Amino acid sequence: MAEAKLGELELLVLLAIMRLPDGEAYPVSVVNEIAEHTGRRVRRATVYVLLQRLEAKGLVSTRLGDPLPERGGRSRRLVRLERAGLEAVRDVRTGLLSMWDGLEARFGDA
Amino acid sequence: MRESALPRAARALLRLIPPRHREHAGGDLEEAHRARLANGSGSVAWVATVLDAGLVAGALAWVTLMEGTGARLKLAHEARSAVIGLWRSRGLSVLSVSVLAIGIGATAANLSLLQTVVLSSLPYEDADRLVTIWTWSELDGARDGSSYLNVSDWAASTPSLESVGLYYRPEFTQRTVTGVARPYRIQVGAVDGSFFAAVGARPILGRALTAGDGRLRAPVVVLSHAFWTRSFGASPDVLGQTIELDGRRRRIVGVMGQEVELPRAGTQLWEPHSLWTGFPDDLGNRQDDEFGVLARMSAEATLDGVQAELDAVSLRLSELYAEHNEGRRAVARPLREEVTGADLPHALWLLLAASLGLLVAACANVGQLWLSRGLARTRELTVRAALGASRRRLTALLLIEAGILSLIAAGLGLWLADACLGLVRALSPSDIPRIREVDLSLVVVGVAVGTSTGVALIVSWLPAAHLSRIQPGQALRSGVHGALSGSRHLSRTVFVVAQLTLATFLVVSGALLFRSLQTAVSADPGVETDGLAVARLSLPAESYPDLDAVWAFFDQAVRRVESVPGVSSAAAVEDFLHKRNTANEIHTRNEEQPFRGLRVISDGVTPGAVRTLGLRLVSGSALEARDRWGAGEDRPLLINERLAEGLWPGEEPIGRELMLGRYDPAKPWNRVVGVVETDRRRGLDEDPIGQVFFVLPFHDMDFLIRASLPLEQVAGPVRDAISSVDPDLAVADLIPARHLLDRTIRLRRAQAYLVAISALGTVALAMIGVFGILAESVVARRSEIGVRMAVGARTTKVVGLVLRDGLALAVGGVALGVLGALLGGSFLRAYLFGIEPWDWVALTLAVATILALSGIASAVPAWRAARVDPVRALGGGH
Repeated sequence: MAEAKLGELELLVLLAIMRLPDGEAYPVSVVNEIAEHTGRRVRRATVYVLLQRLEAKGLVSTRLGDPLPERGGRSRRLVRLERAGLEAVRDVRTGLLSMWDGLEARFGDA
Repeated sequence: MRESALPRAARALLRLIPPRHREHAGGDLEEAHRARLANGSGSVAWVATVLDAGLVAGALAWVTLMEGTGARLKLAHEARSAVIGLWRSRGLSVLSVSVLAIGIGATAANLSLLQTVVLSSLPYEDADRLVTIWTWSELDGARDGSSYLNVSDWAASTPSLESVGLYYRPEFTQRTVTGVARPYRIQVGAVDGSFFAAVGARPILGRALTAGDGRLRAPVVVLSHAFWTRSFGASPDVLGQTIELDGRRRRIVGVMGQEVELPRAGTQLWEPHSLWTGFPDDLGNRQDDEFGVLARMSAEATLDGVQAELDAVSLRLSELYAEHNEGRRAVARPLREEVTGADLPHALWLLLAASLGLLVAACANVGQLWLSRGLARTRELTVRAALGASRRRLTALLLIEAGILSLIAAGLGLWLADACLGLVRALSPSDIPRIREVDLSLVVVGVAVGTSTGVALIVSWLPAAHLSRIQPGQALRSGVHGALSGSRHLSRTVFVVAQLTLATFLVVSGALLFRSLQTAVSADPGVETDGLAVARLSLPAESYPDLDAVWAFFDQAVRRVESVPGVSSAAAVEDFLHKRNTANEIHTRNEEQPFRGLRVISDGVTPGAVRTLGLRLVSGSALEARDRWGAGEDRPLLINERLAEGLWPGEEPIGRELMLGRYDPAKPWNRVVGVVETDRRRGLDEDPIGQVFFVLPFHDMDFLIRASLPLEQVAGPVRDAISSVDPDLAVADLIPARHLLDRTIRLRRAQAYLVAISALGTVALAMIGVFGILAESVVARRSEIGVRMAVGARTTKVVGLVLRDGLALAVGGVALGVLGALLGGSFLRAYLFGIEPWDWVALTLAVATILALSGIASAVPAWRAARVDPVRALGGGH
């Protein structure tokens, strides 16, 4: 399994890919998904760099889709989560959950 | 594939993206741009998308470059340092970016103009082979159209011409589209069967006009792309439908492509020329000059060859038909010259040269700013070097800093250029050919990016090279003593003074032009403009066969419009702005010699014209309906004071008789019945000329109304009142008379603003120059200043020291600039109106502006000098 740590933005990108329906994950939708859930405007340029890094780590794979008229006849770079990506996200989740454990009371009235 | 919606600048940036990523990243960009357009304004979307494209291009180039290497983190670290460094000196960063952006923007805009209007070829097949042919008269050097018979002979004797197309001169061919709710005037092309073949244009629907159409005077039309789109929604079923022109039905047989804008821009449709020219009965002569010729040379022919053939046939024709062809000769010119005109390319090249000068000055200024920044940072950089940063790494740092700035400057400059071109497209209607096609091109984007990259390399190389000459140990001990060599300081001083000189000269010129503009705007136009509005009316000859019919129409129309509530009077004049030709020969009864050199314009009007214009009657009586020129001998005239003084100075003009133009004993004399005040309708900044009014409305008139209510309240009812007389008549919109008069000085206005803009840019650059040279000298003299303060010099003294340097520069520049303006006075005089070139208000204003701004530019370095801490300056601390 990939030993790489996940940065915060990398995690957000992976989660966005997981949330999006199959064949709908590409840089624009990833940016929108993150904005919708966290309110954060991530630059698309950043997403390109992150995707490159994630692909190099073997966590995601990309392929070109069909050309679309509303994109001036250009295709999308569709992203798919790889098994290693899923495992990386799962590891982070497990770690975070165990870190959260027992802290809920402190947020109750904050 | 749908056409890309991306701005051109963004598409150009897309090309910088590595091919592997171009497709999908371009798609993303396009999608995001469409979303932005849907959410907000076009210009905001433009900026966001171009910036976005720049970022994406940078990111993906980065990704490609870094693939499979571990260098990523280090360079990211450098980039972060660079951004921090730029932020620390943000004032300088913003200044450099703005200066460069102005230079790049001006150059890009002018380059685009030049490229579209002058350099790019016309949008026709083998457009270089297209020529126009005119008749030149060697007697008076005038250019004319040609007669049908002459053109036929030319065509038959010029083997170098592949096809010769003919058109009826377009200034005569307008028609009204009737049978619609609101009839309107359009420009039509009246052409022969060879015209489209010569142009090399094929219809996109149906067929072009043929020789048969001409012979049969067939009632058919070919639509322009614009007309087809606007009036028929670009429907493919348009063929065989009919439209009504001047009340007659025409069958649509074809549609031309978008690019065909001949014989003149704005042509809406084409019809056989024989519908206009009384073909063939009226064309059997060689004196008419009503045809223009557009011909296509064969592939191997040259313009000189064609001209030689034309010369031969001209010579023969002048021998055969001496009466009408003597001294007349056919001259071929490239169509492009005809479309663009001769003066415009010259003006555009000049503008480009000016903006290139601005760009060079901008680059020099930025280089200087950065050099002084580099010097100021010598200590920081040497510390870094001493701590083990490699020289390469420091150079990379400087390069990245400069690269970031210059890319932002390029983006901003392109945006500026795009905004300017938008303005140009919007503000110059039909005067400049092809102006609507103007857009930023790939070449221009390339020049912008190339220039800023070049600037980046130079400005980062200068401090880096300087750095490599400094021994770390020595620099740390001594600061930057001696970093400024004497000769370089001198050359910099000369450069700054030269900039100040130019700035002063341009500010003086700008101030003079604005004072002239002011004088022209506030000139009394003579006519009372409040509440006066003008609409052009053209009565088609088909429905109004004679002047009696025209008279009946205007009689009715004036009556009905005057009964509209809020309209106090109405009338028609032949030409409100007096743009027509003038007569320069006047005969007066009982005098042998004609008057020459007194220009006179004549105006056929309806009786209420003088009252509606608001012109004061000086003596005699106004014109009435009974004064209408008819079959009888009596020809009453009103003349203006100007003409009265010119013809009969100090004498009574009433009752005198005169004749305009060539003397003809068969023509009746015109009797002066009254004198009115002189107006400035020809142009607010032109000397008024003589004028005569007589009652005789023609087919083409300017309809005047004087309203006591706001124009928008009466415009509708006035239009309805006119339409009620003739529902098929095209009524142009009412335009306030003040607008029309202001238009007469729009060239003057444009000149004033153009010079003012260049003056602003030059002043800004000059001030940056002053600032830069003083800032640098403060840095270099830090130790000296420290010593002065340590031995008791007051802050005011130190400030004074720096301000004095700044003032010395400014005084030198201003003196030279004023001298230049005085010497150039006679050159400027041609552009001035109502003031002298050595107008003291303008001179004082310019001098005060430059001195005050120089003071402000010196203030920041002076303040910095005052804050020098003697202990640190001498003790070597930073």
